Amino acid sequence: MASVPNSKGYFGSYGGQYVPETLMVAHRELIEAYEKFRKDLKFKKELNYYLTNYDGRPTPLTFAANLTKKTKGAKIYLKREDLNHTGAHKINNCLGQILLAKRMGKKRIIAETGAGQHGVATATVCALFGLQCEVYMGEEDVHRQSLNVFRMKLLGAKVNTVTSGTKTLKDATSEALRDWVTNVKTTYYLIGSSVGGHPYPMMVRDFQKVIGIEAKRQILKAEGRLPDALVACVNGGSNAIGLFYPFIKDKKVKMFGVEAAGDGVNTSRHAATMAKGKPGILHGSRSYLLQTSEGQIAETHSISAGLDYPGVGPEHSYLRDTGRAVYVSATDKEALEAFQLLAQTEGILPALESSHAVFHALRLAPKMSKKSIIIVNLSGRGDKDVNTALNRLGSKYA
Amino acid sequence: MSQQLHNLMAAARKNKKALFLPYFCVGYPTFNASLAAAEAALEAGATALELGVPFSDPISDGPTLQKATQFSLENGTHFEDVFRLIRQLRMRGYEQPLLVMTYLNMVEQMTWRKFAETLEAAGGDGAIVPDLPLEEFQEPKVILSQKGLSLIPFIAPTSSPERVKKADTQEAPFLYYVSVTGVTGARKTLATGLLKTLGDLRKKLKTPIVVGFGISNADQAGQVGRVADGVIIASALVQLISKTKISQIGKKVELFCAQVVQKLKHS
Repeated sequence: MASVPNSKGYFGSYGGQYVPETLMVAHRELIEAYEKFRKDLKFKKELNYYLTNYDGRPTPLTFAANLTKKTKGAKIYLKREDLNHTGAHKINNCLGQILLAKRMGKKRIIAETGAGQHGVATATVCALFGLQCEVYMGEEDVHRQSLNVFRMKLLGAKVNTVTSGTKTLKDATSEALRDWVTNVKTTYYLIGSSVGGHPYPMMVRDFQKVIGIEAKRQILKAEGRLPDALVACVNGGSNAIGLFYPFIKDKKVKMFGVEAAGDGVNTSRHAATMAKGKPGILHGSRSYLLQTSEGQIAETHSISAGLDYPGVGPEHSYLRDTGRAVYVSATDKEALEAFQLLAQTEGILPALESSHAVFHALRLAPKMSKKSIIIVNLSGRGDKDVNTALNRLGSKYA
Repeated sequence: MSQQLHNLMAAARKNKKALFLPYFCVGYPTFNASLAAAEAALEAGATALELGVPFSDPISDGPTLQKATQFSLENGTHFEDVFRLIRQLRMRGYEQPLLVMTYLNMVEQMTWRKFAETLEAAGGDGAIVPDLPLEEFQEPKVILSQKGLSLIPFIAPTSSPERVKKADTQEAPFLYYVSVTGVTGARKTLATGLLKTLGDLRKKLKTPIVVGFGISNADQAGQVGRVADGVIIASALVQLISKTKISQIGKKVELFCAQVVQKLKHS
C-alpha cells in the first residue's frame, strides 16, 4: 500500500480539503508549519518531554488475566490510554497541536467537543501554555456531560453552548469552523479527531500513533510476537488510527474498528457510519457519512457522547474499502455489559466509548485459540460516564 | 458557461455599473413565499438571483441563514424544490440568470452530471458552492459548461495573490468576493479597507467581481457598487422576510430591491 495521504490530503478517494476559500490560507499555513516542525528535533524533544513528564507516557499494556480466563479464548491485553493525564487518549494530540500552535504564534485556541474529553484536554494544554481557550459543545452534550463542562471552566476555558442543528458534536464542529472563518488570523483550531480538511486527519494520526508504537514494543516484550488482532472504538477514529497505524504493514495483524450501534444498526437510533453510511463531504473532507439519500446529514444516537458523530475519519474509510481493517459495531446495551464486566473482573472502569471495543473483544476472544493475542485500546476511563451508567443501571445495583 | 450571465457581467464591468444579485432561501418561509420573493426581486430590477438550497450543516452561514435554512428543511424542502422554483420562474416568463447556491455534499450525492442535466432542463444558469475549493474546480466546471452552465469561484480577503490569479483564469462570469473574514450575516458597517481592496482588485482582475457577505442595505450596496461589478444581499433580505407577514413578502421584497437597484444606478 502506498503511503497515505498524498500531497493533496487524499487517502484513496477520501480526505481532501473541502473548506471555504477564507480558510484555505489557514490550511496552507498549517501544512507548512507541520511539515517544518514534524521533522524538527527540538519539536520532537519538547513533545516527548511533555508526553513523558506531564502526560505520563508510556501508558501500560495490561494483561487482563481475569477477563481472559472468563472468556476462555485469546489472551486479552488492554492498552491503557485511560491512564493518560485527563483520562483519555485525547491529550496526546492536544500536546502535539498546542506545541505547533505556539510555534505558529497563535494566541487563541478553539476546539469542538462531544463527550467533553477533547474539550478538557484542550483546556488543559491551554492552561499549561497560557493560551486563551474557547470550546464549542452541543447543548445536548452540555447537559449529559455537565461535569466535563465544569472541568473546562475550572481550567480557565470558555465553553460556548451550541444550539443549532442537532445540538451535538457535528454542530459544535460547524460552529468551531464558523469561529475559525471569522478569527482565522489570530486563532488556531485544535481539532480533536482524525477528521477535517487536510492536514488534520494526517496530523492527528501522527500525534496519536504513539499508542500503536508503544503497544507494539510492549507486546513484543511481553509475548515475543505481534498480536493477532487489534480492537478499538471508532467514531472520528483518532484512538483507533493511533493504535492501527504502526501495524498497518504487519499484514497478519487483524484490525477491528467498533462503531456505536446505539439501539441497533437496523433502528433509526445509532451512529454506525461504516455500516449504514455512504461517502460524502462534511467538515472539510470526503468520508463515509450517515445521511439521507439527498445528502442531508442524519441524526445519530449513542449512549456515549464521544461516539455520536455522523462521520468517520477519511483514513478509516480508506482502510475499510481496501479491506485492511474491518468495522463492526456494538449497541448501547452491549457497551454497558462490557463496561460492568471489565469493572468487575479487572477493577477497571472504562469509558463508555472504549466499552464498545471491549465488547467486541469479548465477542472475538472465545472464537480464537488460547495462544492468540488481542490488544484492546482502552481509550479512556469511565469516571465521566458514572452518571449515565447510574441512570441506566442504578436500579440493578440498588 | 451561461452566455447571458457572462454578457451581463462583462457589460457591468465595461459600463462601471454594478448589478444586483439578491439571495433567497428556497422554501423559506414556504415554497410559494420564496417564489413570490424571487419574482418580486426580478420585478424590481434584480439582474440575477442566487437561490439557496437548505443544507443541514451550512458552515459558511451565520445565524440568520442557519435559522432560515433549518426552518425550510423542517418544512420539508427538498433539493428538487430549487429546480421547481426555477421552472416556475421560467414559466412565468422571467429570463434573468438564476444561480443555485448549494453545499457540496448535496451535489455529490446527486452527482455533478445529474445536477447539470437537471439544472439545465429547469432553465438555470449555474452554481455557487462555498465548500468547493479551487483545487477541485476543474471536473465540475467542465461538466457544467457542457450544459451551458457556470460555476462561480470564491475569493476572500485571506486569498493569496496566486489563488486570486487562479480564480481569475477560470473563465467564470464573475468571482464571488467574500467581503468579510467571517460567515454570512448583515453587519452595521462595511469591512474596513473593503472599498480600497475592491478598487485594487478590479484593476488587476479581468473577471468581474461580485461582492457578498455582510452587505445589509441600499446605502452599503451603493458604496460597494462604486468599486465592484455586482452586489449580493442575503441575510438582510432573509431578515426582512422573517419579519414580514407571508401575504406582504412580495411587496416588501420588491420595495427593498428597488431601493438597492436605484442606489446602484446612481452610484
